[in-house]
Amino acid sequence: MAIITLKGVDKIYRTKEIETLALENVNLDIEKGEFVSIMGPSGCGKSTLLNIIGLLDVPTNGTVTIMGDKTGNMNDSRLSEFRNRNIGFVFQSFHLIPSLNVADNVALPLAYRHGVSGKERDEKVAEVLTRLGLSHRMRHFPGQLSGGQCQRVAIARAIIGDPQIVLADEPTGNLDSTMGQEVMEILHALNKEDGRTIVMVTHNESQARMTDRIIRFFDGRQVE
Amino acid sequence: MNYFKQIYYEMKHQRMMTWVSIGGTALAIFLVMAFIMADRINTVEVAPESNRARILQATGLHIIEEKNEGSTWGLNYKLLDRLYGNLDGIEMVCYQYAFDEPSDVNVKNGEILSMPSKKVDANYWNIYDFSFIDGRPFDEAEAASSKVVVLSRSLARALFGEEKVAGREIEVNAYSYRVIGVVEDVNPLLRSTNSKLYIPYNPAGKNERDEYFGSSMMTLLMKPGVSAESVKAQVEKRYEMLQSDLSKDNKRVVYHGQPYTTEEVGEGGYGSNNGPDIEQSRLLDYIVYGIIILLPAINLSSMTRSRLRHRVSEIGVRRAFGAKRSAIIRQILGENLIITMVGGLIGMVVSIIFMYLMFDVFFNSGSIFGASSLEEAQARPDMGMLMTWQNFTVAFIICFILNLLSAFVPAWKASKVEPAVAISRAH
Repeated sequence: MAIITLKGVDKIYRTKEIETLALENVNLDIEKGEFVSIMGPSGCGKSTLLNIIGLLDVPTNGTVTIMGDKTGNMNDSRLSEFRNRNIGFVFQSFHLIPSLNVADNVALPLAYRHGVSGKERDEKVAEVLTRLGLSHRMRHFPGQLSGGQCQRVAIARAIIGDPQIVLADEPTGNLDSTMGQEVMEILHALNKEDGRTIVMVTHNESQARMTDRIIRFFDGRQVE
Repeated sequence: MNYFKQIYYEMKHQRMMTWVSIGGTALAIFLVMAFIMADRINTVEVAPESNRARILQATGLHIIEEKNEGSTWGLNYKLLDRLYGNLDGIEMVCYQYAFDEPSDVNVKNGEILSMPSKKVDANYWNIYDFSFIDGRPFDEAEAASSKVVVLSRSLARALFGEEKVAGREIEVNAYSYRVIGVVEDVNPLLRSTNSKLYIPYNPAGKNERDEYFGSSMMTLLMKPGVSAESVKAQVEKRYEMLQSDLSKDNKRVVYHGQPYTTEEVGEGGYGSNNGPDIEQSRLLDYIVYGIIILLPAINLSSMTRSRLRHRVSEIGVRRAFGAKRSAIIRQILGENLIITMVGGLIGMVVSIIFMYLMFDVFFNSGSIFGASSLEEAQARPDMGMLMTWQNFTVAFIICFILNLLSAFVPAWKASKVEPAVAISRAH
């Protein structure tokens, strides 16, 4: 059963002078528990697609259905709630908040979820950081961590709210090969052990080959 | 807790902008609080005027005839009684001589000192809560005999070189009096109670020729919970009756909505010919406060926008992980409120010190009546008149308003940026 369905999705960026077609007639089904890679040259629309799947951006045309819910009818507040409960994000440049320590960064999604007590939040943070081997770094700030550690913190943040879908935008792009490999192993574990659906944008062919399916894009169109 | 962490981080990493914001806020709060405190000194409740909110004062009026008109600061005490005696909601009244003037004071054969004096009846000591350091106030019988006086601590020291002088004899305007009590000196800004010498006043003993004009004024103490408006409404009816009497002689009375509240008395700018205009005075105050707050708010708003530009991607990340627009606005306003409060606290402290040291230079025009004008003109408020919970509450409210004015628009705009755009801006 498809957990993510895109039908006839176009995305057009318009300015006064120019109109850019970032995505054209994208039709896509991603199954629950699938690990999918999206590949293509720079500027082909991969990140735009990920933003649309992650409900961070809206398509110009077409429909996006996530977990059976058509997202086009959701208002901003509902979209925020939906993201909070169902989608986790991992970014290429980590996007940790530099003024917050590791524990507070990881706890961020729970801060926006009703009914989570401080005790529950602390327990969940400790559990997730222990799983990712970072429990000893809880009180450190992002500036005191290596790139690989930062990305592990970002992954911890992505999964603390227990979302079914994790979207990773070039998660190893800023890491050396050893750290990149480490991060890929974590993502595979999240997929295999937890059954989370993972959609990953990558330029790395070998990493993509380790996933269930590769979707290729060129000039805003799905070519494979 | 995160607000404090974030602000601490901001202060460390954007020092220049943070300190300019705090400095701007401090300046705004300092300016507006200086004006507000100067204004509130007229109504602040401190001993011996702890009942200012319940006190009303009735003084002169204006009578217009066909060809001439007359007015006075003082009234015949019988007229005062007719207009203001036995009103519902009044706990007690006191008669005072309407014209504070200096008296010559000396110990027998000693140096004569010209000192400000007040003539008051026995109820005066019940309406105001003076602190007696020796002796006691005079009672009704003693007031009628007019043979006793109350001195201030400083006058007791000037006359006798000590303060415990109850029972000693002095001369006031060449008449002998016995000192019955000594009170703490009162700040000259508390004009209803500040004096060096308190002489008994017995208006019934005066032979006043005019049935309207005279030399008395009245202070009324309302019962707790009674509104000035309800008292004024009763007085209005009594003036209507007075007017109907005066109409027979083609005279018209103008009384300017007396008795005056402490706020109306403090507003000043009135006499027997014209009354205080509280509405206009308040409007002017609000315009001044508005300008003082609005100008720095515009500058602070651009500082906030500038600070937020560094945090666009953070806002995008928060949105991605489920923060609603309202949560982003709350977060930014909350953080900004802390900066505003720090600035506000600095501004408040500076304004208190400024008022304590410089009030006479910038705000005090002094009293144009009475002999104490020089002392009043040089008077400065006590710390107790400045450090009131009301002043701190007002400062907090102004900080809150300043925070909203300076941060709401930038926060609202920041919350409207699409998450995808906000995140991509960091690259």
